[in-house]
Amino acid sequence: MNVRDLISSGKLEEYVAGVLPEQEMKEISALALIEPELAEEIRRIETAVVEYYTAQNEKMSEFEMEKNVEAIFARSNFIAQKTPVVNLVEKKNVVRIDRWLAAAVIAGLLLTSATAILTLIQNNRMSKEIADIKAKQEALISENKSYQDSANLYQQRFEIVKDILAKRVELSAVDKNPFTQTANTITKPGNFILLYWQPNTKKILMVSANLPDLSPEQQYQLWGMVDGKPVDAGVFEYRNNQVSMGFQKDISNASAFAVTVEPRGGSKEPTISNLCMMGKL
Amino acid sequence: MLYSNYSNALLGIIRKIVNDDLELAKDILQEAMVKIWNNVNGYESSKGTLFTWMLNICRNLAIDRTRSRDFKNQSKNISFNDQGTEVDEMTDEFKADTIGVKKLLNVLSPEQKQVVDAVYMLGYTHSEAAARLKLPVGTVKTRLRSAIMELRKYIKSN
Repeated sequence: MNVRDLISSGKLEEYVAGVLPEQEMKEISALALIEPELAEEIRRIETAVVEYYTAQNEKMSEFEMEKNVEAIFARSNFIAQKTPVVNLVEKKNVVRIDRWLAAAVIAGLLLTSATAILTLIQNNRMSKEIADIKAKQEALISENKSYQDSANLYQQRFEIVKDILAKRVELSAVDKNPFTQTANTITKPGNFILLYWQPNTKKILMVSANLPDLSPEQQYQLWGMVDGKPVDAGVFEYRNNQVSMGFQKDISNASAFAVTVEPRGGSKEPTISNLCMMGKL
Repeated sequence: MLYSNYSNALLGIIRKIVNDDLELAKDILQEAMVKIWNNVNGYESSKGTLFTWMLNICRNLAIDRTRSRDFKNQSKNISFNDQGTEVDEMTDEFKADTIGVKKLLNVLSPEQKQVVDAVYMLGYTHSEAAARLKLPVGTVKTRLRSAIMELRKYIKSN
């Protein structure tokens, strides 16, 4: 049976009344999903019936509707309390969701039009999906941003390293200092720092290091030797074989680099007794 | 466009089933809402529209109540054949709030009202309604369809 035949058959009037055999109800419901013309026809029949019976009746006032909603909630709570406890526990989550949906249906039923009820239910589902998608999108944006940040950082570092004018500076342990050790071929390779220094931009990049961990009150501080005087290049962290690699302060014209151990935050003048690493250009 | 509202329509149907006992009708509507509330997970759109589902719950509940002893004691149990005339008599008593509503009630002929009530109010199929009204099935079918068409025409023109 095609849609036109179905519409003129009179079956849709019975469908809206819900009096067709279950199989036919199902078939028409399924067909309405794929045939907009059929769905529209069903909606129109329904509207006609709803309007006709609404007109039979004195309309309830809003106050009365509100009273009704309260009464329905009170009655259904009473029924819920009579339900065995075991069932409630087992179905707890399911029941809660359905109750909210039902609340929407009943509130909508009493206060709004038919279309609004279905829209409400659909919106409920949609807004959940939209919230999920939004959360995922935000996660992706922040993930993307962190990739971009690290890509930019590596790009900057790479610019320094690939620069033919950049100087490679190896710092090794100063003899008999209280912190670092010189290389010992039998036990271990000793402490070291590998720096790149770009004289034209005055940027310093620390690409690798092997240093002992310091106490939380202490920090390593890098100095550039400019005209025989130490110039502060900034403090850095070395923890768990990781080093903070960028330096904020620029150094021009250095003839050597040195590292001291200073109180956290750094010092204005290097503590010479704590001089631990040194590398000449 | 007329104000469309399920609950008022359902109340209108229940009220007719319980012979215009408004208080009883409101009580049944409330009970039906509780049932809907507790069974909302039982609703499947594959078996009909939301309205149809709620209509069935309301109708069954109202018909059950008219069959109960309490109801029979309270008022005379109306048979379906009385319904047509009863409704027409009641029409004048309704305080329709607008001229539009009053007109909507008069859009249908008494014969059309009878089949509309048989199908939507009492839940009869075409053939069941035909048997009760002692009419050919074809007549019920065309009468119902023309009634719905009349209502649709009226709603559209407003």
